Amino acid sequence: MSQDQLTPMASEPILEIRDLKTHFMLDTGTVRAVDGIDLTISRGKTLGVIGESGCGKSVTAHSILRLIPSPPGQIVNGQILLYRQGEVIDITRLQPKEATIRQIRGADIGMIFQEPMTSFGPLHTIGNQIGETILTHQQAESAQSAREQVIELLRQVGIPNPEQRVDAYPHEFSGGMRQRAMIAMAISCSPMLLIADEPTTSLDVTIEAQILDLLVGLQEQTGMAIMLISHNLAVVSEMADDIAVMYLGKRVELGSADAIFDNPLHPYTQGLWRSIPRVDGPLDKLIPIPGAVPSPRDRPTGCVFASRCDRFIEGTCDEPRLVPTFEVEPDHFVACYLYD
Amino acid sequence: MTALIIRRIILIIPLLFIISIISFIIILLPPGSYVETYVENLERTGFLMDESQIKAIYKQYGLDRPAVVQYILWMSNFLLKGEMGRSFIYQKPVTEVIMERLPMSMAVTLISLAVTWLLAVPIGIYSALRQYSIGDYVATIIGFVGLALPNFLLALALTYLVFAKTGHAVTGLFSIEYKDAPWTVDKLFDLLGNIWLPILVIASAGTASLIRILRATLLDEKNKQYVTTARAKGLPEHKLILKYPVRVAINPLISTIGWTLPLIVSGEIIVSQTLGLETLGPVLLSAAMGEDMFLVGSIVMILSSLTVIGTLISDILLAWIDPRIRFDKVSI
Amino acid sequence: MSTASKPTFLTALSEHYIRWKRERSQRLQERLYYASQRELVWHAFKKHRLALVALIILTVLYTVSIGADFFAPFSPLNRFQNFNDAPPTRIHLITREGKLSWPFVYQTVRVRNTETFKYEYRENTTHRHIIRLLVKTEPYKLLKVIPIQHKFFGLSDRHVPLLLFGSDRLGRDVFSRILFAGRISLFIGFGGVMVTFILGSILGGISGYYGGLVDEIIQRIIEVLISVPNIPIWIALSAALPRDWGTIKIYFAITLILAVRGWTGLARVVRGRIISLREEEFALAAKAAGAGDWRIIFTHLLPAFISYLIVHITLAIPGMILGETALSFLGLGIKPPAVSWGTLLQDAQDITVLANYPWLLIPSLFVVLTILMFNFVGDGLRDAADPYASR
Repeated sequence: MSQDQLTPMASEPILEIRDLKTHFMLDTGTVRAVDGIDLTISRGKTLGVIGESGCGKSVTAHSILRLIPSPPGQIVNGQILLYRQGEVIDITRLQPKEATIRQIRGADIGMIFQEPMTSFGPLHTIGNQIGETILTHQQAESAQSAREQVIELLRQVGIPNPEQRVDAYPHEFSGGMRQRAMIAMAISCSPMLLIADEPTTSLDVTIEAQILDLLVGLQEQTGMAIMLISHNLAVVSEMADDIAVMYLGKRVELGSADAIFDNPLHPYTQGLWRSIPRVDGPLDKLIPIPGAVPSPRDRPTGCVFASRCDRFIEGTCDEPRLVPTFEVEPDHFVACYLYD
Repeated sequence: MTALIIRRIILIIPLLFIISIISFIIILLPPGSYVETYVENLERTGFLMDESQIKAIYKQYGLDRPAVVQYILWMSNFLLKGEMGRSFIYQKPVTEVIMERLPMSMAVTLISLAVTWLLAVPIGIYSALRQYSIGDYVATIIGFVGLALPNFLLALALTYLVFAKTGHAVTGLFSIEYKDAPWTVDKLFDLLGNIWLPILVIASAGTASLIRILRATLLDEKNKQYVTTARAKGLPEHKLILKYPVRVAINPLISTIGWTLPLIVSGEIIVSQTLGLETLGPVLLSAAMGEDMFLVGSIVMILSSLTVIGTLISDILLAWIDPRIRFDKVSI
Repeated sequence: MSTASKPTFLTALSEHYIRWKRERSQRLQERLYYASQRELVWHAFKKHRLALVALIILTVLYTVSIGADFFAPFSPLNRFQNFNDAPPTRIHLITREGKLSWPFVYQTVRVRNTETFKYEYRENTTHRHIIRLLVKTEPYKLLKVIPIQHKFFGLSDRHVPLLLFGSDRLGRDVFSRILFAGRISLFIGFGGVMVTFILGSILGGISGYYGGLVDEIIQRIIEVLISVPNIPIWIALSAALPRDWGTIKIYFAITLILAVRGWTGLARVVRGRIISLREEEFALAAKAAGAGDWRIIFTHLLPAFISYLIVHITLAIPGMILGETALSFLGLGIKPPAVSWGTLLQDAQDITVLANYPWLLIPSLFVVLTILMFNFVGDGLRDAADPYASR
């Protein structure tokens, strides 16, 4: 696994998210998609972010690159600190269209999206679209050398016949191939952080395994950090060093992958674990979490998980205040009154 | 690509065939045979034909034979010799009458098509990118009015306005002094001074709907995943918008040539009549008024065929710039 | 009232209002839950303010045209001697004494300007003629049935010209002529659309339901008709109409000519929907129950998208109206003495006429208004036709 190869300087942070709040101001009311998130990503490490759909994982990722459509989306609070060659940039302070954020996009932080089928523009070749990243960030002198780099990248991500495929159009690629090409594009400028937003969700299981292997391999080669967003516990637990569990715009639990896996603290995390089959557990004990995720518009006023929690404490969990975060064991945090 | 072009051309042949049949039916439609009208008209002008001359005409067009034979004669004359019959109001072969006016008709049509695009594309892009801005609303309103305002009314209103403001009457493509003059630089400038109004009017018909289509597609496209991907690459906003969603949104526009072209040809006829342009429009009208049916049918056939061929060219153009169609072996 | 009490009163009022609003929308929601398709469409349509206003304006236009005998002050052929190309009569509200009055006009007289030798119209201000509603005239029959002897408005002295939009070359009232012309121009759309509807749904239905060779042939024909420019075909077909036909025959012929191409769009829509619906379960169920093909098409498939058809038709009417106007304008459609908006505009073809008598362009405003309103109504219907989509 990746953590075995890591150097001692691995705990050096490259991205810190502090109390991030990204809200969407809609006609029908404000949707607090991300509501006070703290995360840290360290050099060369993999941070898994896990949660059901609508919990704000993707919005967090999009906030990092300032890709939130505005209006209606807006970062209303918090900092996103990028540590880059000795300087610290607060991404939330940047204008979403100015040069600094554009230098960060693609060059310092690469991103892979969920939908490989629609991630490429249909009218330009794969090579053109990958090479464009390289040329935009001046990582190649000419279109010709960019093209050679693209071929090399395609080879690196395991696309057969890259010399020919570089001139292919997206519709000539299968979903798995497109996701490989997408990864090639994201790593083309050797970013120090790769954000993978549900990279394998729309792929079938064998392709999923190949893509994950590819990501692990690339991380070993390049030493880049990965922020892996998924709703799939298996994917995250296999790859991540640390795991953050999100629910309704809140980070409810954070800890090392082992800690989250072996000793889940938050009732939500425990519920997630109970609801998936485990190789080492009895097969008949799959217990779904009762109820459904409430709409972000009418979230509970106290603990966001209160409405579905089986260990709900009357008079505490429904108190309309922020649930404090407790460090239950070293580097293992949970936002739950049970650990008060 | 070549296979696609060939398949397209093969597909167009039945269309042209049906058009020629419709045109010929138009020729045969009016009560009374062509020769009767022809002779009648000649007699009215004091020219008496003798029996042998009349017989010669009958023979030339096979008018004493069944309609199918007449059609075959008419078509083979056209295809082999470029002859389409004789116009009795112009006292000339139909081909000659048409060829005199056709270049100007085509020029006006093509320039109008170009102007339609030059107007619609930037406005449509602006409208979509600045959705709900004042400019967007203005474009929408103008678009709606443009949709409701028939060509010839716009022509009338604009000529009236120009005349009322400047005293210059825009009638015809050339001022009187240049009408029959040989081509000179001055004549060209005179043409440019007169042609903008009809062009603008004819272009107005397609522009409104083109703006609406482009705006809708672009609004749809600009929120697609691939635009976010391009943004995440660090491309400058204007560059990525032009390269990705705009390119994608332009493509369906090219396929609208299939119906903007007929619209423009129609508009060209009616505007030409209103503004007295020396194109096929007024000829078609006077021929229709005088029941000069060979001329009417032939003009209908030429205009329709050219429109269909124009659509074919736009299809090929679309395939050429859109790889999805170019490589698709199934759906086209 | 003291300033302190104001906020409380206002708060109470607004609270009450908010509660009322909420309850009302709740009731509405409940009603919508059980509403029929037609109620849903009507509810959604009513929310489209512009479409509603447009519908009202159209209703007024149609009513006024149908009742043109009553609403128009004069007959379309009534000539005012010595009032050729007279400008619109000025309507006054203030008397010479500076008092506000019921709208009135002065008798206008034509005089020759001795310098320019042109006719000019001067007001003879000695006598005021008040415009009255329901003014009495010689008896006539409204819509050729109802005996009546009043006009909607006019002057009590029938010989004083009241020319709201001026008069034409022959001294006829343009306003009255516009109203009468609406009878042809506004209704030709319906006739054309009817033919369109019948042809389109039958041919489209057959094409979609049977497929195969029939489909192929119909599709080719549609393709030709769509790719061929409208106007030349219309001109050619109108030219072929016999000269000696009467207005009614010409009217129906023009209607048919306008529909020649109109049905293609509808047929394509119908075909597309049939193909997608054909495989749906209720059609299969009907087939399994032993229903015949025609029965399936007309009782099961067509009603399933009737709202769709209505929208399409609403948006097709303006095209028909424009077509008639254009043809009549070119002199190939309705012929005098019958009047349509197109024939009225024929007078305005000449730039010198236009420059001198710009009021002859007024009929065009009615054309534009009608087209615009039909487009708004069509848009409203389109949004409303799928009431579940917006929710």
